[in-house]
Parts: sequence; C-alpha cells; structure tokens
Amino acid sequence: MHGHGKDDPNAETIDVTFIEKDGTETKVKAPIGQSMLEVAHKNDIELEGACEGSLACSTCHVIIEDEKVYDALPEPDDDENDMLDLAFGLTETSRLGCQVIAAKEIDGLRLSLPRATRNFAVDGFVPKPH
Amino acid sequence: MYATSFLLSHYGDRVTVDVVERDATPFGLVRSGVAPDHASTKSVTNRFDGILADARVAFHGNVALGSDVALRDLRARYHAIILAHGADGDKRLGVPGEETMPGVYGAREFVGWYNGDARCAATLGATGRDPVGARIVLGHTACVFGLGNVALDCARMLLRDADDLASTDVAGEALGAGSGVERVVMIGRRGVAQAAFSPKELRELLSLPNVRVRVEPPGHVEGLDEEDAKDLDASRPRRRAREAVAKAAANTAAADATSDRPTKELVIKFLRSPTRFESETGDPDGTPPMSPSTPSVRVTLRANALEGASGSRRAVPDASVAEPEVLRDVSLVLRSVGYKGIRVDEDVPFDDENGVVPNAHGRVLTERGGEIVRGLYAAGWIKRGPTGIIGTNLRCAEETVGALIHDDERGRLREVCEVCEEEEDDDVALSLSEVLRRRGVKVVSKEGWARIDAAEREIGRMAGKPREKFVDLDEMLRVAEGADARAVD
Repeated sequence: MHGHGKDDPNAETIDVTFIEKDGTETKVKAPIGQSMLEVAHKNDIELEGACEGSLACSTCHVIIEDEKVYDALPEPDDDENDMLDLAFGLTETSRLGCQVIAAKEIDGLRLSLPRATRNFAVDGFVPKPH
Repeated sequence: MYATSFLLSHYGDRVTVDVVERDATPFGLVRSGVAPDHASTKSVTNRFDGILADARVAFHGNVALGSDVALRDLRARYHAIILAHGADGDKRLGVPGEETMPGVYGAREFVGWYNGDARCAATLGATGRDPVGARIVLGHTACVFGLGNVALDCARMLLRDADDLASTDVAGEALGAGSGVERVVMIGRRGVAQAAFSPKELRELLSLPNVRVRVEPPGHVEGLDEEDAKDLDASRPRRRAREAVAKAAANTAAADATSDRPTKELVIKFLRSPTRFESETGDPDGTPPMSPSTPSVRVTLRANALEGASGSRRAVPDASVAEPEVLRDVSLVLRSVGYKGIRVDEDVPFDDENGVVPNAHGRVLTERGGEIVRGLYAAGWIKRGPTGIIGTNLRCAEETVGALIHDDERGRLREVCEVCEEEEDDDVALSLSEVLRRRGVKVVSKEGWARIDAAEREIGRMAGKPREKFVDLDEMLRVAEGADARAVD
C-alpha cells in the first residue's frame, strides 16, 4: 500500500529527526514513499501503531516541529482529523505518523513524540503501610 | 498489555510480569468489545501477541481476582500490582420494567453475544431470558438507549446485512441468527451538541447501504440555542458529528423524493427519555416469559428540554409536551448509557459513586483523596472510568507505569520479604501457579492460549473468517489442555 522501492537500498531518502519522549534526538534516513510509522519501526523508535496504519486509531500521533514543514504536507483528510481529535495532547501541527509520507518537500523533517503527563510526584507524599 | 510493555521496556531483564486474566483468553475488550466489522482496530492484537510472547511475561488465564485469587495472595508475592480489569458493570436507566422485562438487555450483553464472549453466553443462559438471537430473528423494531460509540456499534450490527459480516470474526451464533430488524431507534436524553458519539463511527452508521436515516424531533439539529452553540464551539468532534447528522437527514429527504427506497430505517431521537417498559399486554413484570410467539415491548418516552449552561447541560422534562410518546412492538431494547466499574476484591479500595478504584496518577489510594497504598496501581477503565479508546489506554498505562517507576526509584514499592513477615502465610513461598493448582483452578497458560488461538483460526479458516471463537468455556479449557479441537477431528 505504501510506497515504491520500500526495501530498495538505492531508493532516494530524506533526513528525518525523531525527538523521543526523553528528549533524545535520532536522525534517520527515510526512503521516499515510506510513512513515518514505518520509518520509526525500522529504526527502533518507540512509536506505537496499534491499527497498523489503517486509520483506525490515534496511537502514532506525532507533532511536526516546524510549521513550514507542516504546511508543506498534504492536508489531513476527514478520517485522519477524526482520529487526531481523539489523540492525546493534540497540537496545531499534530499528524498521524502513518499518514506522513517521506517526500522531497519535507526533507529535514523533525517530529516529536507526545508524552504522557509526567507529574508523578504527589505533594506531601507520606507512604503508609496498608 | 500496554502497562506490561512499558514495564518490559524500562526494566529490561530486571523484571518479570505475570498477567492474571479472568477470561480464558487475553486482550479483554479488543476481543470481546470491539465490533467484528472493525477488524483494523483489532490489529492491535498483533502487538499484544508480541508482548505476551516475551519470555519475561507469564499468562494466568481463567483466574478471577476476588474469587480464584485474592488481592492478599498477590500482595504477598509481587513488588507491585497493577489493576487493569476494566469496567464490567453497566449503568441503568432507572426505569420500571428495565430489569424484569424480557427483551430489555444491557448493551454489554448484546456486544458480548455477537463477539462470542463465553462469559456473556453463560450469563444470558443463567437468567432464563430469551436468547438475544431469538429477539433479533423476531425482528422489526429495536431501540437503543444512548448515543455513544457502543450504541453506534449496536445499531450498526443490527442494521448491517449479514453478508457483510460473514468474513469477520463475528460469533457463529450471531451470524446464524441474521437480523430481522428493519428499524432501529436510537434515543438520547440530550441533544446533538451533547451526544458522545465520535464522527467517524457515526458516519459509518449513517452511510450503511439500504438504510434511510430520520432525525427527530424535526428542526432540532438546525435549531440549536446559544448554549448548545457554545458546546459545539468547544469541540471539533461534536461539530463534525452534528454536520454528519444534518447531512444524513438531508440525504434522506432527497432520497424520499425518488423511488429509490431503502429497505431499513434508522431513527435518531434526541431529547427523549424512557419512562416505562411494558409488555404489550401492559404487564410491567413482563410475565409470562417471552417467547418468539408472545408480545413484544412497549416503550414510553417523555420529551426533554435542556437546562443549564454550556458544558453542563442537563435534560429535564419538557412541560410543553403533554402527551408521552409510545413506541409499539419493540422486539429488542438495548441499554447503552455507559459501563461502570465494579469492585472485584474486598481488599481493593473502591469509589462506588464513580465506579473506579480511587487513585492519583495511577497510584491506588485508600479512598478518594486518601493515602497511597504502597505497591498497588491502576490503569485503564478501572482507573479513569469507562471512556476512551486504545490510544487513551496507551497514555494511561504509560502514566501508571511512570508512577510505579518513580516510586521504585525512591524505594517506595513493597519489599517481598517485608510482605512475608507481615502476612504470616505458610504458603507464601509457593508460586502463584502452585497456589492456583492446589486450589484446583484450571489455569490457561500461554501455551494453552496458543492452542485456543490456533484452533479458533483453523475453524475460522474453513468458514472464511479470521477466527471462529469458542463460546463454551469448558470446550475452550479442553482445547487449552491439548485435547482434540473440532478443527483436528
């Protein structure tokens, strides 16, 4: 379904940087035509893809760091918007990773993975044996 | 399963995770809740299979917390316990006849039935009520109370042509029953601006072939007041859902002008609440027991108006409408106004009012706003209440495991030895598996589940389906133990 020359070592690539939840940046080569979900998985980046790219979930939610790059992407369709509405931590430049396809126009793309609330410390924590 | 995954990825070889599951099969609502025609949503089981296959993970299926094993048994054996057993009850409408009338079911029973949930089949059998299937064959009109995504699933499964389901993992019995239902009436107490359904599922239902859509009361979707408009402004999904409803109503009006009449009908009624379920004989107890030859349900509705400001609009009786509305000859009534978590073990703190385990970021508390219970956590619907989808549960599990790791780094988990001294339990040195074996619990292991899984796929393959689920628990347990499955007879 996705892309041509998927496993072709001579395929043209673009640079993509994933910013993981702990802030780590990983720069990878993304073959033209592949989705960011596929690229993440090939590079061991922890991006969930529960429905395997079939637009039935929102787990591959990514945030495009640069607004200009976001604008260079084809607009999300209704199905993607519906799923994005259910995504955690939606931003103005959110997309589903399975719908962002590597293309020359977005060379240098930087994506960050949304994080769950990290407010783990509870004020006045008094551990009491139960 | 996501909590397990986060634990494995953080701790590496320093952790083992025992998954204790009430059902004989893993994956909860992905198996028994997600509708059969939503195969892509079920793809997540491929991911879960991978987590379960990990050597650090053990599976103890057919083990119910609270009856087969107590929380105190687990507390003595594990540094931390994560409760993730979901919300098993369903909310009531609070209307006479709801509990007693044959033909009135919780959506959960119906969903479990078409999904081949063994537990659900057993429960329905035990109540002596008509099988849901008989009600569907009986046909004509079904009522669904509620306007959430579960209600949409129910309506869609009733209206969809059986041929469309033949290649899904729908339960064989449900497929065989087919559907005689020609008309589904969905009823919500509030308006389109407050409905909980999400636009994608709504569009899917509204675009079923051969189904004409009618929206009531007339003018409601177009004529929203200021507070409703604010509710819509606050939420893109609600705006889009309203657009979808308006468009479907307009399409029907256009289709009515042609001779091309669909064969089935979906009616969406806003601003209506049930006041009574009776048998057509007028007896609210519904006796004698219903059979396909005896009368169906009469549903009485009252009209509602909305009160209060945007964000917290309430339905109150509309005094300007004197006459109640009566729906005659309803063969099936489904209550789909929300699930509710229930307490499964007396030692688990519980917030009865909200149907959740009281917690802060997944750390279980002794009561709402109470003290932290060391080493006890909650994730999923029993933590947050029964809303949200797979993606929501992913983030929810991440938060809970984050709290657990945070506590562990500060030495705030329970020490197993500390627990041993406290419990004074001679059996505490025994593993969970050994304890369950001694109690005579028929545990389904990973290998057992693999056998069930393979047999279901094989039987399904012969019928052109992804799988054919076992709905009989005893049969499933025999297959798990390695007895001949039907597939290899």
